[in-house]
Amino acid sequence: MNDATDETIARRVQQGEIDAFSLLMERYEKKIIRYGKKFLSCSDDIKDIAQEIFTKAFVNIRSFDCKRKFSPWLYRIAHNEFVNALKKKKSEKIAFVDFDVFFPHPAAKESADGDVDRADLRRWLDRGLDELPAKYREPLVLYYFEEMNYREVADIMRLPVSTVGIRLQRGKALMKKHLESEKHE
Amino acid sequence: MNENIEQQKKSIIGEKIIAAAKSGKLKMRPRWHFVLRAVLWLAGAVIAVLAALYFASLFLFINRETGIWLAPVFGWRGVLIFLASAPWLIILSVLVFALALEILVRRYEFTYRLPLLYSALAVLLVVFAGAALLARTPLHENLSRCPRGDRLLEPAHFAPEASPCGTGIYRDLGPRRFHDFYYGTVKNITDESFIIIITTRQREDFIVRINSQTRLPFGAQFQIGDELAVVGDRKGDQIDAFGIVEINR
Repeated sequence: MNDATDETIARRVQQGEIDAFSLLMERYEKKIIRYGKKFLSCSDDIKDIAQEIFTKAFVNIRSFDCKRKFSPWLYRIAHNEFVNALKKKKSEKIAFVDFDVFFPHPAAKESADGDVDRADLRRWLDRGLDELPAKYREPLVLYYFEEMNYREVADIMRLPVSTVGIRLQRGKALMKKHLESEKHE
Repeated sequence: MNENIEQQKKSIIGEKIIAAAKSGKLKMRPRWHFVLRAVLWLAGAVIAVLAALYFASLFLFINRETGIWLAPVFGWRGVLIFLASAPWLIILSVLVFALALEILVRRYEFTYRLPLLYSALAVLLVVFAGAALLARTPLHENLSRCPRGDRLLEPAHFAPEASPCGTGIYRDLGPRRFHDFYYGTVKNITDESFIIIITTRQREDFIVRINSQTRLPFGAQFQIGDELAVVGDRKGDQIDAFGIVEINR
C-alpha cells in the first residue's frame, strides 16, 4: 500500500477505506504545512488551517477525478484556505482584479532551471520571501519549494499559465531588488 | 524539540480526522452531490448565455425596428441622439448576463488558462454572433404581437391604454418616440421634392421640410412608401430636416 500512487489511495478512500486517508496525510502534511508557513509568512494557526484543509479534502474526496493528479487537487483546497486566512489577517491586501490575469504575456514561458539552480534559488528565496506581496510569494513557493510545474501552479491558483510565468519573473526580480537594497544598507 | 512537538501535533491532526470519520461525525459527501453541483453550475451558465442572447438580440431588434442605430450617420448630433435614446437598460442586462457567464465559465480549465481579456472577448463574440443570428429569426416579432395577431410595434394597437397585450418589455418599445429623431414611411412628396410627408409608427403625419443645409444621401430620390429616418427640429407637425437617410431593411 505504501508504494501505491496517491491516486490509487484516493480511489480506495473514495470506496470507503477510511484508514487509507492517513497515508495521504502522511505524504502531504509536512508539505502543506511548509506551503502554508511560506505563503502566509507565519506559523500561527497553521496547524488549525492544515486540519481544516485535510478535513475538507476528506469530505470532498469523491469530487476528485482519479484519472488526474492528486497533488494539485489537494493544493487547490489548501490555496483556498490560505487565501481565506490571508483575507482574515487584513495586513495583506489581495486585489479583486489583477491586470496580470487580464492581459496575455507571450514571453512568460516555463524556464528550464536545473535541479542545482532550483536548490540554490530555494536558499536564496528563503532569505527574503516574506518581503514579497502574496501574489508573487505563492507561485514562487509552489514552483520552487513544492516543485510543481507551471501548469500545476496555474491549476492550483486558477490563473493563465503565462501569468504564472510572469509572476515568477517579477517575484524573483523583486526579491533581487530587495536583497540588493538590504546589502547596501 | 520543536520538531517533536510539531510531529506530535501533526499526528494529532491525522488521528482526529480518522477518528471523526470512523465515528461518523465526519462524512464524505456522496458523488451525486458533486454531480448535482456541476449540473447546477452548468445550468447557471446556460441560463446566463440564453439571457444574454435574448437581451442582445432584443437590442438588435429594437435598433432595427426603431431605426435609431442610423442616428449616428448624422454626425455628432446624431451620436448624441443615439446615446440619449439607446435602450440602456437592455444594454446593461446584456452586460450583466455576459459578466455572469464569464464568472460561471471561469472555473473551467479552458477559460482560466486563458488571459481574462481573451475569455471576455470570446464570451462577447459568442453573445453577439448568437444574437445576430437570433435577431434574424421571427422570435421578437412574434413576441411583440398581440394575441389577436397585431404587432405591438404597430401603433394603432400598442397605445398602452388601448392595448395592454404582449409582455411589458415589448409594450414599452412600441410608443417609443425619440427626441429630434423621426422614423416613418413616405406618404406624399411635393413636386419640387422640398416637402415630404411621412407617417411615423405612432401613426402621426409630419411634414418634413428639406432645405439647402439638409444632409441627404448622395443622389437621393425618395419615393412614396420609402422608409426614412429624419433628424430635425420639430415645430407642431413640421420638421426642419437636419438630415434624412433611407432605410433599407
